[in-house]
Amino acid sequence: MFESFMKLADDSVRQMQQAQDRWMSSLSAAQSGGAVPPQGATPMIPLQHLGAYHQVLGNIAARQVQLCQGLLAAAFRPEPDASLIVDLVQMQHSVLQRLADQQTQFIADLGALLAGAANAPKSNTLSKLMDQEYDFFGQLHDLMSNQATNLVELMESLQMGCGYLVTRKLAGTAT
Amino acid sequence: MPADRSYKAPPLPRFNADLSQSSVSGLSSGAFMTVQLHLAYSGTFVGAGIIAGGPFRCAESFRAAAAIAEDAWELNALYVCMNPLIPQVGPDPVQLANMARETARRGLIDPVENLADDRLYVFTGSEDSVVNSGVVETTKRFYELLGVAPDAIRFENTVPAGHSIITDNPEDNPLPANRPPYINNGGFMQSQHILEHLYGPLKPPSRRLSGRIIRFDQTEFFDGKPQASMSDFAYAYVPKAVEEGAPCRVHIALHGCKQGYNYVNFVNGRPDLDNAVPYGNRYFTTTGYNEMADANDLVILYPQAHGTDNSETQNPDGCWDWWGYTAENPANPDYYSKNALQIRAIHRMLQRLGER
Repeated sequence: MFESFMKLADDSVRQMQQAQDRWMSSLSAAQSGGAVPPQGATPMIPLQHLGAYHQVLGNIAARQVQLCQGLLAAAFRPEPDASLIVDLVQMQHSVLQRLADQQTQFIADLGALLAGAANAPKSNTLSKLMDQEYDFFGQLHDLMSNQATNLVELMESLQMGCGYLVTRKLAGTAT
Repeated sequence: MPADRSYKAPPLPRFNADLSQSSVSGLSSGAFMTVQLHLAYSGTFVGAGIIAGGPFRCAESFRAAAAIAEDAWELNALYVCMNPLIPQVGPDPVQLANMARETARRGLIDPVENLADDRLYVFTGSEDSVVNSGVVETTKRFYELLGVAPDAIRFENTVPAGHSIITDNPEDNPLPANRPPYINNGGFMQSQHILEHLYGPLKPPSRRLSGRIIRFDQTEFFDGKPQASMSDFAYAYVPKAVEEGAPCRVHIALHGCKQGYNYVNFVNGRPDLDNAVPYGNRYFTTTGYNEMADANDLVILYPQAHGTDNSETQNPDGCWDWWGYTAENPANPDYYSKNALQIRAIHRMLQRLGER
Protein backbone atom coordinates (compact mmCIF):
# COMPACT_ATOMS: atom_id res chain seq x y z
CA MET A 1 0.00 0.00 0.00
CA PHE A 2 2.75 2.41 1.07
CA GLU A 3 4.91 1.58 -1.93
CA SER A 4 1.92 2.15 -4.22
CA PHE A 5 1.44 5.61 -2.71
CA MET A 6 5.10 6.47 -3.19
CA LYS A 7 5.09 5.22 -6.77
CA LEU A 8 1.98 7.25 -7.47
CA ALA A 9 3.64 10.38 -6.10
CA ASP A 10 6.83 9.69 -8.06
CA ASP A 11 4.84 9.19 -11.25
CA SER A 12 2.90 12.41 -10.64
CA VAL A 13 6.06 14.48 -10.25
CA ARG A 14 7.60 12.92 -13.34
CA GLN A 15 4.47 13.44 -15.42
CA MET A 16 4.16 17.04 -14.27
CA GLN A 17 7.76 17.74 -15.21
CA GLN A 18 7.33 16.04 -18.58
CA ALA A 19 4.15 18.01 -19.24
CA GLN A 20 5.95 21.20 -18.29
CA ASP A 21 8.86 20.41 -20.61
CA ARG A 22 6.45 19.68 -23.47
CA TRP A 23 4.58 22.92 -22.83
CA MET A 24 7.79 24.93 -22.73
CA SER A 25 9.11 23.41 -25.97
CA SER A 26 5.83 23.98 -27.79
CA LEU A 27 5.82 27.54 -26.51
CA SER A 28 9.39 28.06 -27.73
CA ALA A 29 8.47 26.54 -31.09
CA ALA A 30 5.48 28.88 -31.39
CA GLN A 31 7.63 31.87 -30.53
CA SER A 32 10.47 31.06 -32.89
CA GLY A 33 8.35 29.79 -35.82
CA GLY A 34 8.87 31.56 -39.14
CA ALA A 35 5.23 32.63 -39.37
CA VAL A 36 5.20 34.56 -36.12
CA PRO A 37 7.00 37.80 -35.27
CA PRO A 38 10.43 37.57 -33.53
CA GLN A 39 10.64 37.06 -29.76
CA GLY A 40 9.99 40.21 -27.82
CA ALA A 41 7.64 41.61 -30.46
CA THR A 42 4.40 42.95 -28.97
CA PRO A 43 2.04 40.10 -30.04
CA MET A 44 4.33 37.57 -28.31
CA ILE A 45 4.46 39.32 -24.93
CA PRO A 46 1.30 37.72 -23.47
CA LEU A 47 2.55 34.31 -24.58
CA GLN A 48 5.95 34.91 -22.91
CA HIS A 49 4.27 36.01 -19.67
CA LEU A 50 2.02 32.95 -19.80
CA GLY A 51 5.11 30.78 -20.23
CA ALA A 52 6.81 32.39 -17.21
CA TYR A 53 3.69 31.86 -15.05
CA HIS A 54 3.40 28.30 -16.22
CA GLN A 55 7.00 27.56 -15.34
CA VAL A 56 6.83 29.07 -11.84
CA LEU A 57 3.47 27.50 -11.03
CA GLY A 58 4.72 24.17 -12.37
CA ASN A 59 7.70 24.40 -10.00
CA ILE A 60 5.38 25.14 -7.08
CA ALA A 61 3.11 22.20 -7.91
CA ALA A 62 6.03 19.80 -8.33
CA ARG A 63 7.51 20.99 -5.02
CA GLN A 64 4.16 20.48 -3.32
CA VAL A 65 3.85 16.91 -4.59
CA GLN A 66 7.42 16.15 -3.52
CA LEU A 67 6.63 17.60 -0.11
CA CYS A 68 3.53 15.39 0.26
CA GLN A 69 5.61 12.44 -0.84
CA GLY A 70 8.21 13.25 1.82
CA LEU A 71 5.60 13.69 4.53
CA LEU A 72 4.04 10.40 3.55
CA ALA A 73 7.38 8.66 3.71
CA ALA A 74 8.05 10.21 7.11
CA ALA A 75 4.63 9.10 8.40
CA PHE A 76 5.16 5.50 7.35
CA ARG A 77 8.66 5.14 8.80
CA PRO A 78 9.02 2.23 11.19
CA GLU A 79 10.11 4.64 13.93
CA PRO A 80 8.15 7.87 13.52
CA ASP A 81 10.15 11.05 14.22
CA ALA A 82 8.31 13.13 16.80
CA SER A 83 10.73 16.03 16.32
CA LEU A 84 9.34 16.52 12.81
CA ILE A 85 5.91 17.28 14.26
CA VAL A 86 7.46 19.67 16.79
CA ASP A 87 9.41 21.48 14.04
CA LEU A 88 6.34 21.73 11.80
CA VAL A 89 4.31 23.22 14.64
CA GLN A 90 7.11 25.73 15.29
CA MET A 91 7.08 26.63 11.64
CA GLN A 92 3.33 27.16 11.73
CA HIS A 93 3.78 29.43 14.73
CA SER A 94 6.46 31.40 12.89
CA VAL A 95 4.16 31.84 9.87
CA LEU A 96 1.32 33.10 12.06
CA GLN A 97 3.70 35.51 13.76
CA ARG A 98 4.92 36.89 10.45
CA LEU A 99 1.35 37.18 9.14
CA ALA A 100 0.41 39.16 12.23
CA ASP A 101 3.47 41.41 11.78
CA GLN A 102 2.61 42.00 8.13
CA GLN A 103 -0.96 42.86 9.02
CA THR A 104 0.10 45.29 11.75
CA GLN A 105 2.52 47.01 9.37
CA PHE A 106 -0.12 47.17 6.63
CA ILE A 107 -2.66 48.81 8.91
CA ALA A 108 -0.07 51.31 10.17
CA ASP A 109 0.97 52.20 6.60
CA LEU A 110 -2.64 52.51 5.48
CA GLY A 111 -3.39 54.80 8.43
CA ALA A 112 -0.39 56.98 7.56
CA LEU A 113 -1.52 57.13 3.94
CA LEU A 114 -5.05 58.19 4.84
CA ALA A 115 -3.74 60.76 7.31
CA GLY A 116 -1.46 62.10 4.58
CA ALA A 117 -4.39 62.36 2.17
CA ALA A 118 -6.50 64.17 4.74
CA ASN A 119 -3.72 66.71 5.31
CA ALA A 120 -2.69 67.17 1.69
CA PRO A 121 -1.17 70.58 1.01
CA LYS A 122 -3.36 73.20 -0.59
CA SER A 123 -3.66 73.04 -4.40
CA ASN A 124 -3.86 76.31 -6.29
CA THR A 125 -3.92 74.73 -9.71
CA LEU A 126 -5.85 71.92 -11.34
CA SER A 127 -2.58 70.24 -12.39
CA LYS A 128 -1.32 70.13 -8.79
CA LEU A 129 -4.67 68.79 -7.58
CA MET A 130 -4.58 66.02 -10.19
CA ASP A 131 -1.00 65.22 -9.23
CA GLN A 132 -2.05 64.82 -5.61
CA GLU A 133 -4.95 62.55 -6.51
CA TYR A 134 -2.81 60.30 -8.66
CA ASP A 135 -0.06 60.26 -6.02
CA PHE A 136 -2.57 58.97 -3.49
CA PHE A 137 -3.76 56.16 -5.74
CA GLY A 138 -0.17 55.35 -6.69
CA GLN A 139 0.79 55.02 -3.02
CA LEU A 140 -2.28 52.92 -2.31
CA HIS A 141 -1.37 50.65 -5.22
CA ASP A 142 2.20 50.28 -3.91
CA LEU A 143 0.90 49.40 -0.47
CA MET A 144 -1.47 46.75 -1.81
CA SER A 145 1.13 45.24 -4.10
CA ASN A 146 3.71 45.12 -1.29
CA GLN A 147 1.21 43.34 0.92
CA ALA A 148 0.42 40.81 -1.82
CA THR A 149 4.13 40.23 -2.55
CA ASN A 150 4.90 39.73 1.14
CA LEU A 151 2.12 37.18 1.37
CA VAL A 152 3.37 35.21 -1.63
CA GLU A 153 6.91 35.40 -0.24
CA LEU A 154 5.69 33.88 3.02
CA MET A 155 3.94 31.12 1.10
CA GLU A 156 7.13 30.35 -0.85
CA SER A 157 9.16 30.41 2.34
CA LEU A 158 6.78 27.96 4.04
CA GLN A 159 6.82 25.57 1.12
CA MET A 160 10.61 25.73 0.87
CA GLY A 161 11.05 25.33 4.61
CA CYS A 162 8.75 22.30 4.83
CA GLY A 163 10.40 20.63 1.84
CA TYR A 164 13.90 21.23 3.20
CA LEU A 165 12.99 20.08 6.70
CA VAL A 166 11.29 16.86 5.58
CA THR A 167 14.13 16.05 3.20
CA ARG A 168 16.69 16.53 5.96
CA LYS A 169 14.67 14.47 8.44
CA LEU A 170 14.38 11.62 5.96
CA ALA A 171 18.10 11.80 5.25
CA GLY A 172 18.79 11.88 8.99
CA THR A 173 20.84 15.10 8.79
CA ALA A 174 18.53 17.42 10.72
CA THR A 175 19.13 17.90 14.40
CA MET B 1 33.31 56.63 -26.74
CA PRO B 2 29.62 55.75 -26.08
CA ALA B 3 27.68 58.79 -24.87
CA ASP B 4 26.40 57.03 -21.73
CA ARG B 5 29.88 56.20 -20.36
CA SER B 6 32.31 58.52 -18.75
CA TYR B 7 36.06 58.51 -19.40
CA LYS B 8 37.98 55.67 -17.87
CA ALA B 9 39.86 56.18 -14.66
CA PRO B 10 43.60 55.47 -14.38
CA PRO B 11 44.71 51.92 -13.56
CA LEU B 12 45.15 50.76 -9.96
CA PRO B 13 48.75 51.63 -8.93
CA ARG B 14 51.26 49.33 -7.23
CA PHE B 15 52.33 49.89 -3.63
CA ASN B 16 54.81 48.35 -1.23
CA ALA B 17 52.19 45.96 0.15
CA ASP B 18 52.86 42.81 2.15
CA LEU B 19 50.07 40.65 0.77
CA SER B 20 50.59 37.92 3.35
CA GLN B 21 49.07 40.35 5.88
CA SER B 22 45.85 41.02 3.92
CA SER B 23 42.36 40.84 5.37
CA VAL B 24 38.80 41.33 4.20
CA SER B 25 35.46 42.43 5.63
CA GLY B 26 31.98 43.14 4.35
CA LEU B 27 28.32 43.71 5.08
CA SER B 28 25.46 41.45 3.94
CA SER B 29 26.16 40.27 0.36
CA GLY B 30 29.63 41.74 0.97
CA ALA B 31 29.84 39.50 4.05
CA PHE B 32 28.82 36.40 2.12
CA MET B 33 31.49 37.37 -0.44
CA THR B 34 33.97 37.97 2.40
CA VAL B 35 33.52 34.35 3.51
CA GLN B 36 33.96 33.10 -0.06
CA LEU B 37 37.04 35.23 -0.68
CA HIS B 38 38.52 34.27 2.69
CA LEU B 39 38.10 30.54 1.98
CA ALA B 40 39.24 30.77 -1.63
CA TYR B 41 42.48 32.50 -0.59
CA SER B 42 42.89 31.49 3.05
CA GLY B 43 46.63 31.25 2.44
CA THR B 44 46.73 35.00 1.81
CA PHE B 45 44.28 36.38 4.36
CA VAL B 46 45.00 36.67 8.07
CA GLY B 47 41.35 37.11 8.96
CA ALA B 48 37.89 38.28 8.02
CA GLY B 49 35.17 40.60 9.33
CA ILE B 50 31.64 39.40 8.68
CA ILE B 51 28.68 41.69 9.32
CA ALA B 52 25.36 39.91 8.75
CA GLY B 53 26.62 37.18 6.44
CA GLY B 54 26.02 33.46 6.09
CA PRO B 55 28.35 30.50 5.58
CA PHE B 56 30.15 29.31 2.45
CA ARG B 57 27.98 27.90 -0.40
CA CYS B 58 24.87 28.25 1.72
CA ALA B 59 22.72 28.82 -1.39
CA GLU B 60 23.41 25.24 -2.46
CA SER B 61 21.90 23.74 0.71
CA PHE B 62 18.74 22.29 -0.86
CA ARG B 63 18.97 21.48 -4.57
CA ALA B 64 15.44 19.98 -4.69
CA ALA B 65 13.91 23.41 -4.05
CA ALA B 66 13.10 23.77 -7.77
CA ALA B 67 13.38 21.80 -10.99
CA ILE B 68 15.70 24.41 -12.50
CA ALA B 69 19.00 24.79 -10.61
CA GLU B 70 19.13 28.58 -10.99
CA ASP B 71 15.69 28.90 -9.35
CA ALA B 72 16.70 26.54 -6.56
CA TRP B 73 19.79 28.58 -5.64
CA GLU B 74 17.77 31.78 -5.46
CA LEU B 75 15.07 30.19 -3.29
CA ASN B 76 17.80 28.86 -1.00
CA ALA B 77 19.39 32.27 -0.78
CA LEU B 78 16.12 33.90 0.26
CA TYR B 79 14.54 31.30 2.51
CA VAL B 80 17.43 29.25 3.91
CA CYS B 81 20.36 31.67 3.98
CA MET B 82 18.69 35.00 4.76
CA ASN B 83 15.43 34.59 6.56
CA PRO B 84 14.50 30.99 7.42
CA LEU B 85 11.19 30.51 9.23
CA ILE B 86 12.85 28.54 12.05
CA PRO B 87 16.52 27.73 12.80
CA GLN B 88 16.00 24.09 11.75
CA VAL B 89 15.49 25.21 8.14
CA GLY B 90 18.48 27.55 8.18
CA PRO B 91 21.97 26.67 6.94
CA ASP B 92 23.50 23.46 8.24
CA PRO B 93 27.09 24.26 9.31
CA VAL B 94 28.14 20.59 9.30
CA GLN B 95 26.96 20.04 5.72
CA LEU B 96 28.57 23.29 4.56
CA ALA B 97 31.87 22.64 6.35
CA ASN B 98 32.01 19.26 4.60
CA MET B 99 31.31 20.99 1.29
CA ALA B 100 34.15 23.43 1.99
CA ARG B 101 36.57 20.57 2.74
CA GLU B 102 35.53 18.81 -0.45
CA THR B 103 35.92 22.03 -2.46
CA ALA B 104 39.44 22.41 -1.05
CA ARG B 105 40.27 18.77 -1.85
CA ARG B 106 39.35 19.47 -5.47
CA GLY B 107 41.80 22.38 -5.44
CA LEU B 108 39.13 25.01 -6.11
CA ILE B 109 39.97 26.90 -2.93
CA ASP B 110 43.03 27.00 -0.66
CA PRO B 111 43.39 24.20 1.95
CA VAL B 112 41.01 24.84 4.85
CA GLU B 113 43.84 24.06 7.28
CA ASN B 114 45.09 27.60 6.59
CA LEU B 115 42.14 28.92 8.59
CA ALA B 116 43.42 27.53 11.88
CA ASP B 117 45.47 30.63 12.80
CA ASP B 118 43.09 33.21 11.31
CA ARG B 119 41.10 35.76 13.26
CA LEU B 120 37.39 36.44 12.77
CA TYR B 121 34.97 39.19 13.65
CA VAL B 122 31.35 38.04 13.25
CA PHE B 123 28.48 40.42 13.93
CA THR B 124 24.69 40.26 13.82
CA GLY B 125 22.39 42.99 15.06
CA SER B 126 19.59 41.74 17.29
CA GLU B 127 17.11 43.88 15.27
CA ASP B 128 18.26 42.65 11.86
CA SER B 129 15.23 41.63 9.78
CA VAL B 130 17.13 41.07 6.52
CA VAL B 131 19.67 38.39 7.46
CA ASN B 132 18.46 36.46 10.47
CA SER B 133 20.77 36.33 13.51
CA GLY B 134 20.50 32.53 13.62
CA VAL B 135 22.04 32.37 10.13
CA VAL B 136 25.02 34.47 11.23
CA GLU B 137 25.51 32.19 14.25
CA THR B 138 25.87 29.27 11.83
CA THR B 139 28.69 31.21 10.13
CA LYS B 140 30.57 31.23 13.42
CA ARG B 141 29.87 27.53 13.94
CA PHE B 142 30.96 26.80 10.35
CA TYR B 143 34.35 28.40 10.98
CA GLU B 144 34.78 26.58 14.27
CA LEU B 145 34.14 23.28 12.49
CA LEU B 146 36.89 24.19 10.04
CA GLY B 147 39.37 24.67 12.86
CA VAL B 148 39.31 28.36 13.76
CA ALA B 149 40.04 28.66 17.48
CA PRO B 150 37.00 29.91 19.46
CA ASP B 151 39.13 32.55 21.20
CA ALA B 152 40.17 33.94 17.81
CA ILE B 153 36.52 34.69 17.02
CA ARG B 154 34.88 37.84 18.29
CA PHE B 155 31.16 37.17 18.00
CA GLU B 156 28.71 39.99 18.71
CA ASN B 157 24.93 39.46 18.75
CA THR B 158 23.65 41.72 21.50
CA VAL B 159 23.78 45.18 19.91
CA PRO B 160 20.20 46.24 19.00
CA ALA B 161 21.18 47.10 15.44
CA GLY B 162 19.26 46.58 12.23
CA HIS B 163 20.85 45.34 9.03
CA SER B 164 23.79 47.73 8.74
CA ILE B 165 27.40 48.64 9.27
CA ILE B 166 27.58 50.76 12.39
CA THR B 167 29.17 54.21 12.57
CA ASP B 168 29.14 57.20 14.88
CA ASN B 169 28.03 59.65 12.19
CA PRO B 170 25.00 61.70 13.23
CA GLU B 171 23.76 61.73 9.60
CA ASP B 172 23.30 57.96 9.47
CA ASN B 173 20.11 55.96 10.10
CA PRO B 174 18.96 55.19 13.65
CA LEU B 175 20.59 52.03 15.02
CA PRO B 176 17.59 49.63 14.71
CA ALA B 177 16.74 50.64 11.12
CA ASN B 178 16.65 48.04 8.34
CA ARG B 179 16.75 50.29 5.30
CA PRO B 180 19.22 51.77 2.79
CA PRO B 181 21.89 52.91 2.91
CA TYR B 182 22.30 50.26 5.65
CA ILE B 183 24.72 52.53 7.52
CA ASN B 184 23.40 53.12 11.05
CA ASN B 185 24.56 55.32 13.88
CA GLY B 186 25.38 53.25 16.96
CA GLY B 187 27.90 55.58 18.57
CA PHE B 188 31.01 53.63 17.50
CA MET B 189 32.89 52.82 14.31
CA GLN B 190 32.42 49.12 13.63
CA SER B 191 35.12 49.11 10.95
CA GLN B 192 37.65 50.06 13.63
CA HIS B 193 36.56 47.20 15.88
CA ILE B 194 37.01 44.86 12.91
CA LEU B 195 40.50 46.07 12.06
CA GLU B 196 41.65 45.97 15.67
CA HIS B 197 40.37 42.45 16.13
CA LEU B 198 42.02 41.24 12.92
CA TYR B 199 45.39 42.94 13.40
CA GLY B 200 45.69 43.37 17.17
CA PRO B 201 46.27 46.74 18.86
CA LEU B 202 46.46 49.59 16.33
CA LYS B 203 47.12 53.32 16.60
CA PRO B 204 43.93 55.36 17.12
CA PRO B 205 42.22 56.67 13.97
CA SER B 206 43.57 59.85 12.39
CA ARG B 207 41.56 62.98 13.06
CA ARG B 208 42.65 64.46 9.76
CA LEU B 209 43.40 62.26 6.76
CA SER B 210 46.84 62.63 5.22
CA GLY B 211 46.17 60.44 2.20
CA ARG B 212 43.56 60.31 -0.52
CA ILE B 213 40.88 58.16 -2.09
CA ILE B 214 41.91 57.01 -5.54
CA ARG B 215 39.45 56.05 -8.25
CA PHE B 216 40.68 53.33 -10.63
CA ASP B 217 39.51 51.41 -13.67
CA GLN B 218 38.01 48.17 -12.41
CA THR B 219 37.09 46.71 -15.82
CA GLU B 220 40.58 45.34 -16.53
CA PHE B 221 40.19 42.95 -13.59
CA PHE B 222 37.02 41.27 -14.88
CA ASP B 223 37.93 41.69 -18.55
CA GLY B 224 34.90 43.92 -19.05
CA LYS B 225 32.50 40.97 -18.93
CA PRO B 226 28.98 42.29 -18.33
CA GLN B 227 27.87 39.16 -16.44
CA ALA B 228 30.39 40.06 -13.69
CA SER B 229 27.93 42.76 -12.57
CA MET B 230 30.86 44.93 -11.49
CA SER B 231 31.12 48.69 -11.99
CA ASP B 232 33.53 50.51 -14.28
CA PHE B 233 35.31 52.15 -11.34
CA ALA B 234 36.40 51.08 -7.90
CA TYR B 235 38.18 52.94 -5.09
CA ALA B 236 41.03 52.63 -2.64
CA TYR B 237 42.15 54.72 0.30
CA VAL B 238 45.92 55.27 0.27
CA PRO B 239 47.71 56.95 3.19
CA LYS B 240 50.30 59.58 2.23
CA ALA B 241 53.22 57.57 3.63
CA VAL B 242 52.18 54.53 1.59
CA GLU B 243 51.91 56.59 -1.57
CA GLU B 244 55.46 57.74 -0.87
CA GLY B 245 56.70 54.14 -0.64
CA ALA B 246 56.21 53.03 2.97
CA PRO B 247 55.43 49.34 3.49
CA CYS B 248 51.74 48.63 3.97
CA ARG B 249 49.09 46.00 4.49
CA VAL B 250 45.84 45.71 2.54
CA HIS B 251 42.29 45.39 3.81
CA ILE B 252 39.44 44.76 1.36
CA ALA B 253 36.11 46.33 2.36
CA LEU B 254 33.07 44.97 0.50
CA HIS B 255 29.85 46.95 0.42
CA GLY B 256 26.44 45.25 0.61
CA CYS B 257 23.46 45.31 -1.76
CA LYS B 258 22.31 48.78 -2.90
CA GLN B 259 25.57 50.33 -1.64
CA GLY B 260 27.74 50.55 -4.75
CA TYR B 261 28.63 54.03 -6.03
CA ASN B 262 26.36 53.72 -9.09
CA TYR B 263 23.42 51.86 -7.56
CA VAL B 264 20.16 52.78 -9.28
CA ASN B 265 16.85 52.14 -7.57
CA PHE B 266 14.17 50.21 -9.45
CA VAL B 267 10.69 51.76 -9.32
CA ASN B 268 7.84 49.59 -10.59
CA GLY B 269 10.42 47.32 -12.21
CA ARG B 270 12.25 50.06 -14.13
CA PRO B 271 15.56 51.73 -13.26
CA ASP B 272 14.86 55.19 -11.86
CA LEU B 273 17.63 56.93 -13.78
CA ASP B 274 16.25 60.41 -13.10
CA ASN B 275 16.79 60.07 -9.36
CA ALA B 276 20.24 58.73 -8.56
CA VAL B 277 20.52 57.63 -4.93
CA PRO B 278 22.39 60.26 -2.94
CA TYR B 279 24.52 57.94 -0.85
CA GLY B 280 26.56 56.03 -3.44
CA ASN B 281 29.94 57.13 -2.06
CA ARG B 282 29.24 56.80 1.65
CA TYR B 283 30.54 53.26 2.11
CA PHE B 284 34.03 54.21 1.00
CA THR B 285 34.10 57.65 2.60
CA THR B 286 32.24 57.64 5.93
CA THR B 287 32.40 54.16 7.46
CA GLY B 288 35.61 54.81 9.41
CA TYR B 289 37.98 52.46 7.59
CA ASN B 290 39.98 55.31 6.06
CA GLU B 291 40.81 57.02 9.38
CA MET B 292 42.21 53.75 10.77
CA ALA B 293 44.07 53.07 7.53
CA ASP B 294 45.65 56.50 7.62
CA ALA B 295 47.08 56.01 11.10
CA ASN B 296 48.27 52.45 10.51
CA ASP B 297 49.61 52.37 6.93
CA LEU B 298 46.81 50.23 5.58
CA VAL B 299 45.47 50.46 2.05
CA ILE B 300 41.69 49.92 1.98
CA LEU B 301 40.46 48.48 -1.29
CA TYR B 302 36.80 49.09 -2.13
CA PRO B 303 35.75 46.94 -5.12
CA GLN B 304 32.33 47.89 -6.53
CA ALA B 305 29.42 45.75 -7.72
CA HIS B 306 26.52 47.19 -9.65
CA GLY B 307 22.96 46.22 -10.49
CA THR B 308 22.12 44.19 -13.57
CA ASP B 309 18.67 42.78 -14.29
CA ASN B 310 18.21 41.06 -17.64
CA SER B 311 17.58 37.57 -18.95
CA GLU B 312 21.23 36.58 -18.28
CA THR B 313 21.99 38.21 -14.93
CA GLN B 314 19.46 38.81 -12.19
CA ASN B 315 21.09 41.16 -9.72
CA PRO B 316 18.97 44.33 -9.63
CA ASP B 317 20.24 45.38 -6.19
CA GLY B 318 23.92 45.33 -7.09
CA CYS B 319 24.79 42.56 -4.63
CA TRP B 320 27.99 40.52 -4.65
CA ASP B 321 27.42 37.06 -6.04
CA TRP B 322 26.80 34.39 -3.43
CA TRP B 323 24.03 32.43 -5.19
CA GLY B 324 25.49 31.90 -8.65
CA TYR B 325 24.16 34.68 -10.85
CA THR B 326 27.57 35.08 -12.54
CA ALA B 327 27.97 31.35 -13.19
CA GLU B 328 28.17 30.15 -16.78
CA ASN B 329 26.69 26.78 -15.85
CA PRO B 330 23.90 27.22 -13.28
CA ALA B 331 23.62 23.46 -12.74
CA ASN B 332 27.18 23.50 -11.40
CA PRO B 333 27.60 27.12 -10.41
CA ASP B 334 30.99 28.62 -9.71
CA TYR B 335 30.68 31.80 -7.70
CA TYR B 336 32.83 30.68 -4.75
CA SER B 337 36.15 29.35 -6.09
CA LYS B 338 39.40 30.99 -7.15
CA ASN B 339 38.07 30.84 -10.73
CA ALA B 340 34.79 32.63 -9.99
CA LEU B 341 34.51 35.88 -11.95
CA GLN B 342 34.21 38.28 -9.04
CA ILE B 343 36.65 36.48 -6.74
CA ARG B 344 39.27 36.32 -9.48
CA ALA B 345 38.77 40.02 -10.19
CA ILE B 346 39.16 41.09 -6.56
CA HIS B 347 42.20 38.87 -6.10
CA ARG B 348 43.81 40.39 -9.19
CA MET B 349 43.32 43.85 -7.65
CA LEU B 350 45.00 42.64 -4.48
CA GLN B 351 47.91 41.22 -6.41
CA ARG B 352 48.38 44.50 -8.27
CA LEU B 353 48.77 46.33 -4.98
CA GLY B 354 51.66 44.06 -4.03
CA GLU B 355 53.43 43.82 -7.38
CA ARG B 356 57.06 44.89 -7.28
